[in-house]
Amino acid sequence: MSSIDLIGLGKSFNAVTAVKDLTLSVRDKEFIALLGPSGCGKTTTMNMIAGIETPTTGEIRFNGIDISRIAPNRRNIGFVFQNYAIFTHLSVFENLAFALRVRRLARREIDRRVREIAALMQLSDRLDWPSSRLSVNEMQKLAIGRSAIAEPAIFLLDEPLSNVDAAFRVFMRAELKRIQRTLQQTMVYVTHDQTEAMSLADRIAVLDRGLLQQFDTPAAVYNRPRNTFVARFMGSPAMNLLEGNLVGLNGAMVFEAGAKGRLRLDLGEAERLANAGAKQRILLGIRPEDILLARPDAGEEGLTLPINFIEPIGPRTILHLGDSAAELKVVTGKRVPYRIGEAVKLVMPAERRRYFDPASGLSLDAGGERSGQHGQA
Amino acid sequence: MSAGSESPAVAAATAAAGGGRLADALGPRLTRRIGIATTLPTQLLLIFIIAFPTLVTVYISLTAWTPLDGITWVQAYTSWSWFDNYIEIFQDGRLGGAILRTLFIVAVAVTSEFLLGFGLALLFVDKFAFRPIYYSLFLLPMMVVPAVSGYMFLILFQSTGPINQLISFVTGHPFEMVWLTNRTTATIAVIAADVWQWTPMMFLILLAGLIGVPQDQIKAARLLGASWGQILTRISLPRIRAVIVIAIGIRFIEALKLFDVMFIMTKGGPGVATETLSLYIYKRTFGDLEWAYVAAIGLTIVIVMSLAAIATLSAVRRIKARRAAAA
Amino acid sequence: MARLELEGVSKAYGGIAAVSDVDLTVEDNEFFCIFGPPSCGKTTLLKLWLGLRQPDRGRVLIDRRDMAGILPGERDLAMVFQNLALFPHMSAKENIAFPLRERGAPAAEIERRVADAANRLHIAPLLHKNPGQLSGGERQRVAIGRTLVRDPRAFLMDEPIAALDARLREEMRVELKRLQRELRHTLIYVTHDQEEAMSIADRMAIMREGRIVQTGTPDEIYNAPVDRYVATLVGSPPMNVVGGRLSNGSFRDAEGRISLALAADCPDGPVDLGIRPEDLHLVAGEAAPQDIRGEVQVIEPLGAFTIVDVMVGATLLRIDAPGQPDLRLDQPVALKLRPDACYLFNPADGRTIWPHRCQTRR
Repeated sequence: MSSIDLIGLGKSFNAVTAVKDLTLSVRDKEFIALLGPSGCGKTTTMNMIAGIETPTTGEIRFNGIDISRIAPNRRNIGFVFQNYAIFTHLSVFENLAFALRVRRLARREIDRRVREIAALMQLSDRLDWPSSRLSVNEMQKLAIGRSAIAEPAIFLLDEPLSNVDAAFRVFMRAELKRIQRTLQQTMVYVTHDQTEAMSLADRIAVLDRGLLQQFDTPAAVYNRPRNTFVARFMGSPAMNLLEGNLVGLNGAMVFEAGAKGRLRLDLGEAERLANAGAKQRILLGIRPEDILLARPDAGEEGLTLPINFIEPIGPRTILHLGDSAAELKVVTGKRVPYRIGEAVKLVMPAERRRYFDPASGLSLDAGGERSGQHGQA
Repeated sequence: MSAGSESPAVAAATAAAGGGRLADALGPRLTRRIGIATTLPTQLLLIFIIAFPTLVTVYISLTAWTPLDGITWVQAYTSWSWFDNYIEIFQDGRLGGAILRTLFIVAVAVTSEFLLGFGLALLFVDKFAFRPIYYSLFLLPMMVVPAVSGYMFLILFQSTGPINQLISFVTGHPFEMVWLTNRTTATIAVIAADVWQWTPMMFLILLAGLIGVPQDQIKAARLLGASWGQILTRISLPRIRAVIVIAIGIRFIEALKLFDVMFIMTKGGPGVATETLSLYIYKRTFGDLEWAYVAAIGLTIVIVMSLAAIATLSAVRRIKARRAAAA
Repeated sequence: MARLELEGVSKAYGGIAAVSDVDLTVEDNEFFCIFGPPSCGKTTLLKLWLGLRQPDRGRVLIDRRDMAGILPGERDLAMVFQNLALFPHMSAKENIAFPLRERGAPAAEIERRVADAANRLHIAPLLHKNPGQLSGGERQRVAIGRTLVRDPRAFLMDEPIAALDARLREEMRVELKRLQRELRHTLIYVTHDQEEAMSIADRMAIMREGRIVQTGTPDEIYNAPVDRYVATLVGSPPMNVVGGRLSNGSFRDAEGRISLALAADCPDGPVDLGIRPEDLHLVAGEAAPQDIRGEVQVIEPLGAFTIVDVMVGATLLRIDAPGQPDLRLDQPVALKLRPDACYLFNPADGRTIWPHRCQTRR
């Protein structure tokens, strides 16, 4: 059993608050991601779980036991640093064996377990090598293996894939999941890459400037973001947010986005917004992949904008529309029959639209809030 | 983290080929010519300053000349005696004694300096309040002129001096040992003076080495379950092996030249109890004026110390090569 | 602004060949990407153009002039490194002004050019700050500003945004492309991120172990790869490759689970079939007899699309499905694809044998 409870956790460095009032619970054998931009407090939180930093406020519990008095070398956790921190003066074998040697295990036992882990991490033919001779990708695997060999119940990884090349990143994502399932560990994974978090985590904790924004499954965080920060942080490219007004027109509610055009809300939407107490000024959110393209003279309702940039990225294409002040992005398929400068109508299906309050940034769509706290920084 | 996309092997090969960017752009022949031209004046100067006196010393050492003969050194060939002086070195019992004594004193002193210096360095690795002030305090002894420190310790170790007074105070009984007239205690006193003066140097060098150990690796070791002691023995010490060898090597070679302190405190006494190599040479040179013999001794010492220096360097090189072959 | 070429260039370091027999032409005003795995020689090419290295064989040309014997400082090229190399003790403004001060430009002109560069890069309000006070993206732009003011003939960039946050990388690559278009400078850009290369390059070159494997527009590289290496290198997840036999223009894999009538006019024999993950579609509803059947192994929901690993006998096929399809693990599914979206590779040397549009010389 190795659950982690963070209760009211906070950390300040002199005048700077890195983490504020963080409360969340990680279940046994769960893989969670601490996700957020640089400086959001994710690494500090992880350092506190490891014991490298002491919390200013709050508690940390493993399996319900307060561990704040336990020294970092006795917490039995695995930790992978961003820069790996491989013991470059030792061989690959000795790196892997380190955790066992400091526990004074018998030589034969150490040998057996090192070879086991090396096989799992595909480093078996590198065991005699000086560790400094490994490639970056191999060092990555060594860092993981070195921590995994002590069979810690909890594994902490601090942006382990940020220094490896893109192709290896994709490969390691699958590997990490495989390792986690094989070793049956609770994993806490710090990253700034939302794709990584979506791909690996059972639940994602989104942080911004020391405050927890939302803690939920990838699908929930992606489809039902609590606020504009989460909405824009998840997804590549980010969710489009349009400023506009809600007005009544001919008995129906209409979203008016200034000169760009207007969209009629259906009854369901109108009701939801009314119940949520939406004011006149409102933010409409829609993900780039949910927007459909149509010719400007087509019959459907939508906003018409000129294309100002085209990014073909292989299986998909990202279109940038509008001007740099208020740009919208659309993700569409490989083949795009449009050119830069052409005007295109953007059709936004009602069921894909999300609404946010411009002042607080909170979502106005009811339902499905199993997340952590409130808190916009 | 990766510096561009060149592999380590390729980068190492570039460095080994001696190619810098300018050298690459100028071409090999021009680079070599510029190199020779710019270093020529210094090389000539070095030849004059080093080679010339050495040759004179070799010349004199093969004769039996002393200034008492009344002729200049150029005419020393008149008392040519081939390797007599060198043979005498091996038969000189007093020289042998001096050498052994020197080695003993240096061994004890350098070991003490290393242990004390390392202990201090360990204390100073992590920040604590007023660290810079303590730092300056601990470096002060090194700044003192050795002769002055000799006088200092001479006074300290007087039979009515502060050290005896301190011991009397602590034990409650009057303590009036005459340190410098007893063989054992005189040696202790001299070693104490050297340790006081040169521990800071060990401390400096070792501290620099310890600070160079990457913090990340120490943290990683901690999280892998290592206690501070295990971190010391498994991470810090192996990484500063080269630094330790250099520190001990430097200090050892320097200590062999021990003179000022000895001269002032004991002049080699009582008897020859604290007569080190340099004191012995001093007495033969200025007392007995046997310059040819002393020249021979001097040359022999240089050769032996060179061998010691080479041994130190090759130990360091072996450590580095092991790491470079890994890279 | 300048045309950069390499003609038959080879360079080795101490017996290890870094680049071999490279022919490359970067046209005026082109945004050219050099892409490949680590240690394939990409940075060496940049160094050869810059003059930091001399080729063992071949010629380095800028604007059709042979650069042999011309020092790096005289070539008028600007280089942006991954670690930026900003002067930490100077403000952003002083950093940007540095090259101009070195050349002794008049103060008024320095002011003007620095302001111009700062505006172009949207860093005008940051000019008084030191690099230590700036974020990664801002430092990036200061580094570019410093090269901009020299008005070089061409820019060379070595993985300039690799160290930035994912979100920032996405924004910066668009910024860089826009900037290049506006400035109309030739830009040679080295990267290991294939999505980045595809998104911003006018043309790109794929490298492998010191050799150029294919050059072309991103569209050509992606849709007409010259061999299996290029086909699997570009595109994420990588193209699925299945071994099997071709007879009478139809493909059949070893287990007989995948049978496709391709109408490929190639001789019978063993072939490798390539099909991109986005070209495999989950069949909703009734499966047709020619569809591929398998079970769901892994579901990776990434928001806008979902990567599904489907086990077809002993073969694992990865598909890129739009949105968030409703799937369970071990669920039996059927996949369909268009024959003209397939590729055939020679199993021996990996060259693409079909479609024939992929067989043009690199």
